[in-house]
Amino acid sequence: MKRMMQVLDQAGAGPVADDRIVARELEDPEAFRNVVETYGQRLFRLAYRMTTSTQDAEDLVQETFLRAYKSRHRFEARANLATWLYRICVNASLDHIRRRSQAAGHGAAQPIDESEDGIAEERLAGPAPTPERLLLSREVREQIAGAMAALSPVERAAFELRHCEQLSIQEISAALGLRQGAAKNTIFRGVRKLRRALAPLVEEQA
Amino acid sequence: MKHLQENDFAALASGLGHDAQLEHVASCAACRDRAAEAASVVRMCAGMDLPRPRPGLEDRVVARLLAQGRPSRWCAWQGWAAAAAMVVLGAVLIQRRVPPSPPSAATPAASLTHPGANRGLTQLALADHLDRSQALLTALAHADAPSPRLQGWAADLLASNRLIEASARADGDAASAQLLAEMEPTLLQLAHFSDDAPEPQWRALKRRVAASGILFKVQVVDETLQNQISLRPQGKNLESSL
Repeated sequence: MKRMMQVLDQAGAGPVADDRIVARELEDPEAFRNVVETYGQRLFRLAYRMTTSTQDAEDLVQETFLRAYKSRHRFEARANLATWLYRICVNASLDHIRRRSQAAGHGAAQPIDESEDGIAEERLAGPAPTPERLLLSREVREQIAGAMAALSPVERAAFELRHCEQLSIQEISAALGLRQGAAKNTIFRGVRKLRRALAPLVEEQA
Repeated sequence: MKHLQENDFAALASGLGHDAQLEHVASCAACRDRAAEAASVVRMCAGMDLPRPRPGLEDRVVARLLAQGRPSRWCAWQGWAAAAAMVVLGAVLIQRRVPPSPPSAATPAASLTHPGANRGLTQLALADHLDRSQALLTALAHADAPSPRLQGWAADLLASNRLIEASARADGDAASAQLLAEMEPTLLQLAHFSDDAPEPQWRALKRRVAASGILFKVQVVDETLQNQISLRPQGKNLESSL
């Protein structure tokens, strides 16, 4: 595939090829509809986790598929389609968050990613909580949402991909554009923050 | 014995614990409780309901793609597509008229013994095969039930799939060869799908095929191939191939 694309690039046919690809799909959009139907809801969840806005998440799903559609010729047939789409979605979401932050004039906006949070680890002992009982309370749900919102967008994305989508570290690192070690650290940091934030809640319920 | 740290509990709660961490948790009640608590926090957060998009998200996405993707060179494209179709159709028709037995026959297999000599024709055969595969996979996506027509179609493609895969591999086109290898199980399952199988099995087959993204991959490779064919001085290569 790379060799084929080199031939195209050497011939200076990049933009022409893009138009042809789009035009070809217009003749048979059903194929791309399958991809949209398979991944639309999953990408929405990921974008929502990152932006915490339903409207933004929906716009980002559209943006993700638009970018994917336009750059289809760069997709490696041997690559993982889901990971490729997640990567586009993460990049689109990060672009959006940066723009939103700049537009709002947030000089000290929440960092998109953090290498180290520097918050002292809390110690918590005691029996395991009962999540089913905890989830009954609206107040508890709000606390959980608040704890999630306190994570950086990349940490929330890593959490979603690992704990909801059940992706491997290799897939998560590809989706986030991080080395595998950094992807693991991002997941662990997010879990540590959640645990600290929800510790009082767990103690109270225990 | 040294107790586990916060990062260890995060690793365990994320299903990424090492043997040493697991062994410690098995023998230390205090750490076991904290690991269970971390796992509970993760479950709570992962299980929290998220808002759903407004109904019809997929339709809106496709509509936007159609609206934004309409190129200004539409008429030029149609001309190019017609010309390419004529070239492919001509090559396929001539190929089918060539007797299969002589060693010089322009079949995909011939390029196995003469790599490069029939590359042009191999690519045309591959493009034709991918076009038909796209059509089959699209029909499959919309078929409510198996049909002899679909199964016969899959059996036809299956018969040539491995041969074309071998030709592509011999030409050094690893991406196409890999794609055809990936497509084979789908063709095999469809060709041999039992008419008596319950409907859930049919739906499960369609879901597996959709989730694999194979149709999308076929289109990507086919488009690249079509572009490559269109960039080559077709008359000369085609004549030498035929």
